[in-house]
Amino acid sequence: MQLTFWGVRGSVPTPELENSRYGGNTACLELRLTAGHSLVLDAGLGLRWLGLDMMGRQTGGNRLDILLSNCHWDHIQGLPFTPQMYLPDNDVHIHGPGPDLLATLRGQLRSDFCPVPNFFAENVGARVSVHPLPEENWLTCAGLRVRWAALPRTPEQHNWVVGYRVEAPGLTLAYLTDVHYTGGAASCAAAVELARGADVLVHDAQRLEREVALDGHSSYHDALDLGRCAGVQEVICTHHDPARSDAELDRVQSWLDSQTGLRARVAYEGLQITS
Amino acid sequence: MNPPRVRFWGVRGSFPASRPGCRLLGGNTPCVQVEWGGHHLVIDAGTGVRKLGEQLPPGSRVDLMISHAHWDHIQGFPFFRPAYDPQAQLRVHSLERPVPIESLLRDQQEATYFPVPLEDMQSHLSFHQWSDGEEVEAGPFRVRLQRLNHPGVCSGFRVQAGDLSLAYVCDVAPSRDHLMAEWAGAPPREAALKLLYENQLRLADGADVMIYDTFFTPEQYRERSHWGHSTLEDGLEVQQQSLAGELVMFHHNAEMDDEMQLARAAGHSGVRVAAENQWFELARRGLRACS
Repeated sequence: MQLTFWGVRGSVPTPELENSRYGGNTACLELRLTAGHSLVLDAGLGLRWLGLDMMGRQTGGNRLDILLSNCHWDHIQGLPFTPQMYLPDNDVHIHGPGPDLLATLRGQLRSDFCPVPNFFAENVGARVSVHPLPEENWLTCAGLRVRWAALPRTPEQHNWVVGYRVEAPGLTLAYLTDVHYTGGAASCAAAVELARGADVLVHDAQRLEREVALDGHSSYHDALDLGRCAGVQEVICTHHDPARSDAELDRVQSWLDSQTGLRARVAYEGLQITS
Repeated sequence: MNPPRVRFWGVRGSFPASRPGCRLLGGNTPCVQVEWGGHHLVIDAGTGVRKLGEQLPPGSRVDLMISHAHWDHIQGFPFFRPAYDPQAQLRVHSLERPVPIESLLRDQQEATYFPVPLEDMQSHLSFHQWSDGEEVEAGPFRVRLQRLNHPGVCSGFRVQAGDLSLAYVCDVAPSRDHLMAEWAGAPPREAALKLLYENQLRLADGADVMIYDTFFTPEQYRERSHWGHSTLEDGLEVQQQSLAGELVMFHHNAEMDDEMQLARAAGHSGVRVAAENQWFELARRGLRACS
């Protein structure tokens, strides 16, 4: 079981020299099940490089099971640029929020914006199926039990984002991004439940503490607070702000290293965790 | 007035290329700034426009020319800080099209896809549509739009800054294989292709600098001729026929390492490879690196 970070940037791809060590691709995290089958959390631009990598792993068709936390561009913009979507032998299952999930994803391929073959259509590219999240709070994805919860994105009730808990053999993974806690992470019961006792908590940390605003993101402190409260083994901070340089992220890592009682790391492209 | 200055903020085509082989030239999607007398002309709003926006002073006056609405040419717009500056004046220009650019930018910032709607951009923001061949006054610049052969609606720009000129010929496919441009009242295929090629020549005509879509090698073009891009060889032909000055290779393919781009240019005099992070002076017959 191997976890690989392919995109760790939030908001917009930032291919800049000053952040090239941590990486400029937007959100994408892979849980590799076999050489030809991966469960993927979010489909930001990192998905392109994952897709290219998969082409070299084996010769047959591939299967991708993708869980989307939300449909902001930085979480879906990798789909049209991933060769896996255009290969007829592939199966791609996309799970995500919203009754209009298919329409939302197809909207990215409008000819005004993106003149590529419509791989959502039958007989075009991969066999793609789109599954809005079920009413119950769990689903089976890639043969694994996955729990999901609606988490607050802003203080307004209607504005929410999906967090996931994936229970794989030997690795329980919690993935919470684009979430904003009013009153602290520990007070968000849904978040604590998702993360409880996880081996790895991957959490949004777009903001530094001094930057915290009501804008749909979290800080390193929120990630650590939730990790401690939920008793997780390790916290990985991701979804870095576009303006966050390698030097700043190095300083954040040093600060995380100084924390006791919990292992915490700043995500970078290529970071792998094997269990 | 000092000479006009040019800076490439994004030179990459299709999608932002954040990978080791693309760091020499830069990985941001298209954005070119031309500054003269404190007025900023910006061509395309790929991801490069984000960093440009951070450098512009508050209250800037900006004319943004958008060639077309494919993602790599508009995806930086929601991150362009002057658009949120109540003191800034931002005029967005494009070729007329069935669905106007304003509506497409609004859709890009629809709540499902982006947290801040276009309405919340507080600058003095206005949208202007022009027809093929029309000329726009933009501060000290005069800019002419010409339709190009690319899927849907796309235009290049001819920028006149006093007696100096710059042509932006991107995104564009050669006129020899496919007619991809679509517009009401288009003539039959052969005539349309001829007109679109002549538009390239009109843009480049004697220009001091011609920024050109050299996305493909000839081999790549043969496999993907329907994608709407050209080769260096196509650009050289236009440069020669139009008596343009320096040809600047642009819209680099993220699948090719930067060393390969530089190798393609080697051996051609009058050819430069566009790269981020440097100021140039727009000079007679070419760009001149600022020290």
